[in-house]
Amino acid sequence: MSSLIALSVSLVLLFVALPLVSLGTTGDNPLVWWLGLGCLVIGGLIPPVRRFMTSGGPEPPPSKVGACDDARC
Amino acid sequence: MPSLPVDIFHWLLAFLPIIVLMVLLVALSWTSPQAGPMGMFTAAAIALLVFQTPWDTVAVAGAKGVWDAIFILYVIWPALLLYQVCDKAGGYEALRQGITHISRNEVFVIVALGWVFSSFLQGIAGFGTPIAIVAPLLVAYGVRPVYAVVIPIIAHLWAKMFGTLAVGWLATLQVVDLADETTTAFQAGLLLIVPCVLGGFTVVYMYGRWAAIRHAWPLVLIISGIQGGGQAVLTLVDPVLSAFLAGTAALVAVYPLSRWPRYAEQPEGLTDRPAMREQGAGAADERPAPMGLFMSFLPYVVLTVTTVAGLLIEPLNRALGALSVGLPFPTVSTGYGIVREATEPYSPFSPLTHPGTFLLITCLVTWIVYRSHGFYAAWAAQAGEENGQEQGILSSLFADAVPASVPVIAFLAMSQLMDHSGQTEVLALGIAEVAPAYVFAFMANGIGALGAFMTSSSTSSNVLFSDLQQTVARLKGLPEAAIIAAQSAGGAIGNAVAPANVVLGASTAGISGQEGEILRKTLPWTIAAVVMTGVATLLLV
Repeated sequence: MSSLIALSVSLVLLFVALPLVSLGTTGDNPLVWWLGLGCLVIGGLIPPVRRFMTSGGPEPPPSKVGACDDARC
Repeated sequence: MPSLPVDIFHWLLAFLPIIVLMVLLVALSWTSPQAGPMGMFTAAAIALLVFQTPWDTVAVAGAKGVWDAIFILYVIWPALLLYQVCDKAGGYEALRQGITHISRNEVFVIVALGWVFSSFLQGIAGFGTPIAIVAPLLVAYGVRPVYAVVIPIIAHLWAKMFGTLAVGWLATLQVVDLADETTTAFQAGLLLIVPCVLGGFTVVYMYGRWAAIRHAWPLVLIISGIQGGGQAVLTLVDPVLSAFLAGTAALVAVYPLSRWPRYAEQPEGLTDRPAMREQGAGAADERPAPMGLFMSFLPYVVLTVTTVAGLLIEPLNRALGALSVGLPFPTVSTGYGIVREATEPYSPFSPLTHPGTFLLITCLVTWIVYRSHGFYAAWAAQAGEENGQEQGILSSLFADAVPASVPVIAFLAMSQLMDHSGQTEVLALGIAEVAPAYVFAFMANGIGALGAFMTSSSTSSNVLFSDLQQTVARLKGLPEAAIIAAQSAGGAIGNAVAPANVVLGASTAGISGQEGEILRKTLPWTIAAVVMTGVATLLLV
């Protein structure tokens, strides 16, 4: 899975957590807010976990702006 | 129910999430999407294990953090879109070439763009807009990307408190009942002269060290007088317009200052220019730009006009502000009696008066104008591409904006977790408890800076800590106006190390992943500004 796709999944999970926690806690529905909390945890875990899964691999290419001065270039 | 324990053990644990974040970002050079969630999880673990925080409170705090992030993400995404809309049409190359023809004095141009223009933008917009807009402009001019982020971050902070039509000041008035509002606003204005002057000199020093300062010190003092001095005086008349008017006056003053022979040409002897790329402002791309300077500056004219119209025309502002959305959250508490009341809705979001909408309008107008003039096709043809470059706008936007979004959410979730569990309160109470009156006065702006670091917002810092600062000021017999003013100044200064600002700048300058390098430059400045503001606070008490 590319870094961008992984971060996109992470971002979607973090956003999905928001209405689930709001609905679950205000509607007194523990299953829903636990689901939201789960999304928050998994969404947050993806980026740091990928650091260890992809260590040693090449960095994704930096974006164009200022790329000529990017230390990774 | 046991009360919140304020002791060295709990204070150190409450400080741990910040330590984890700084070590991972600065010392170990983790990227912000990787480090941000680690700070969030550390805060959650301490909340659950030490601060008697139930799971539902943790869930609500985390979700509120996601909501808070939307206010910043709605600047990041449109700002990056604007960058792509301009860049794919050759707009930044045109701007770079045009600016180099206006003045051959690099330090003057950097001061004008990095300090004066970013401060002007802070007067009308906020939420990081000055950084997102100015960082790519400076890169286009020939500034190294890390400096292109650091310069606007530091330079616009003097306008944080009373910028965005004084949203930070108005938020402060919501949470504290001030005996003398005018004196408090004026003293805040006086203290904000410190980051204004220090910011100006730092920008010049970063450009060309002491030789640049010897050359540009009159320019820095004049602009500081207009911006910082002007803002302080204008708080006596109308705090809401003080930063906007002072920033506008400084922008107007740029033209007569550019006619000053001292700043017409690049001075001899200014050879050590660490902030500039090898080639400097003269050449980065040999291709002739497809448009002139005015056309390349069109987006910023549109942005200014739409923002000023949307915020200052009262009936329009009222109509746009009528649309407001938000999600409800219930009352949550901890075993130590920290209670956060139910809110319906929590922190409502008014999208139509938010800078993000003005940026989106700017994107649309710019895209239509550039497309109708054939700039995309012309710039693509020069690059030897058959198709216009418009097709890549959205894919480039996603590639830049997604990595910038995850850490912003994580930082703000961490902040809410620390707030809802009482960790933030322990940090502030711990400092207040052990510090004698004058030491507390000296450190008051540091507490404000800490709040801004945690929340990436001077307004949030003031909401978080103003009440506590006022309470401690009364207990210690200190003048509350000076202490609230110090909190306000610190809340502005702390934005220099606020992770969300750093991520925002890094993403718009195309150096995502180098947030630690940026922090290594803004951290010493922040410490110096906090110390100098602390000394200035002592003069007020």
